[in-house]
Amino acid sequence: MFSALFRILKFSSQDFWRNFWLSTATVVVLVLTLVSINFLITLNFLTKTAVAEVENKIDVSIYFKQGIAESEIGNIKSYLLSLSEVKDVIYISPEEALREFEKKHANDAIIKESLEEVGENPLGATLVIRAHDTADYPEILEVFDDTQYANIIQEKNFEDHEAVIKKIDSISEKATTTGFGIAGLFAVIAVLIGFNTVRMTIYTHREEIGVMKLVGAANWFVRAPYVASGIFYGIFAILFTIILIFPAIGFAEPYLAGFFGGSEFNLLGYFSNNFLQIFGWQFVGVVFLNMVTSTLAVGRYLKV
Amino acid sequence: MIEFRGIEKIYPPSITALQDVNLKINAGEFVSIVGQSGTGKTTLIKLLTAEERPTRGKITISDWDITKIRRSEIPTLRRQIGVIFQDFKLLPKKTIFENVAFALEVCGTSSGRIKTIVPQVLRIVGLEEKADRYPKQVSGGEQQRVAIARALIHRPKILVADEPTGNLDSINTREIADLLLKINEFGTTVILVSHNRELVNSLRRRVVTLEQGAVISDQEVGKYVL
Repeated sequence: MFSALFRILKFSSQDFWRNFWLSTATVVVLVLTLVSINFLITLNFLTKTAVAEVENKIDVSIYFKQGIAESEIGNIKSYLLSLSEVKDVIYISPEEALREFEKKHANDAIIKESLEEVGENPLGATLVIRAHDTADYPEILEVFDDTQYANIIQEKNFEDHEAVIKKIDSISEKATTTGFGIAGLFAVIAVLIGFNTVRMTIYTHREEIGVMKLVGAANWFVRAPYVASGIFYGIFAILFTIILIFPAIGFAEPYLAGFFGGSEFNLLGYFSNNFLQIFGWQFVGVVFLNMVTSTLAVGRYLKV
Repeated sequence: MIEFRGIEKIYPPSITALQDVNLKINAGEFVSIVGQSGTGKTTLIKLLTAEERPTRGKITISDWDITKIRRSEIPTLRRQIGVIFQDFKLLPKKTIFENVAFALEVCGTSSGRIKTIVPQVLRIVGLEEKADRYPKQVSGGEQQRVAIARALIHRPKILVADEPTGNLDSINTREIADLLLKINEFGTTVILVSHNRELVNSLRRRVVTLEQGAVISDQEVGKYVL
């Protein structure tokens, strides 16, 4: 048993090194296939980051009437924070709101004059709400439709943002669907390329397979070294892909981070944190593909 | 020992390669099978190694009906019949030693025994010194001797040589013929398929002549009659 296993591994490694250029060509095609898949993973990450970045900039403000007690607004804030859909709620006092307003319109003489004429702070407090998902805003803000709030709320700007939010939700959904579609297409192309590469490799060995059969080798003994070679191709392909991907990400990351305006962007971190999930599945996939292809391709030439 | 009884082989759609072949080959015999190209000589050999199955008839080797052989039994059959071919059929990416050793490795012979037997057989065919070379690094005659060494490694009772001198010059042809005679002297049944008139006539052994898939002549000490 161990002797047979040892011989299979010996034949397989001999075949790998003695057909060095053929093995190299096979591994290179598999590496290119895996790099394409990782490029797609990167694109998917960038799309999600871009959508999340835009979504993060969206918030909804509730403007309260003047004179509403801070404690009452505090209760509303606490309630909002207790909702699982709410990410954050910021309280802006009337004084802060006025300061911001003045700062924003510092160069507008008419507004400045108007404020001086009124004499007192005309602004009420504000609650700025941020949801985890833009689709949750209508549900969060439903509570303010209640009549008890009608007397204390001056205005809520959700209606202003509603169209934008809906648009972003739609873009996000389309990006995800398109991403899945392209990923599926790439996966099919990758499988076909990998399948054909291994098949071509075995095609070049067809006469050898025939000779092995003629000198009395059993089917499994002929097949096993080629299947083992398929596993070797997979191991080398995934190793070279990892060796290529990380420096490439390291090189591209500063440029991409600049594009996203220095926000929370960590592609290298994404690949590192999900290393096993990303490369583990690719390894399983490429090895499984090579094993199945080798088994099927060798089978064609075993009928001697 | 080997018997072909009423053998017929038809390739689809209707190409008759062999028709009503009846032939008995005794243990230890040296038989040349001759005939022009396309007369069914190689088909006869393919039937013997279970590479092909007859359309009709029965082939037995020491009472083993190989026309009903299961796929899983074919490797066992082939380990009992040594075969050499015109194009040598060596594994190009294996050394001479590894080519010969491979025939033992496929049936699970231990590494220690392989290291003992292979040099012995290579010595018999005069290639011990070239064991580490690859097939393309030696001459055609030497490649055929490697093939003979590989065929002999299991000490088979039958050695089938399908046009073994087809790619060789006259000196190498003579050497291979002498080697086959020597192997036969040790008791191995040798079946030589050839259309080399000079070679067959020089052997002065049994000659079976095929024409259009049928046996037209079978002489104990025959000559190439076509």
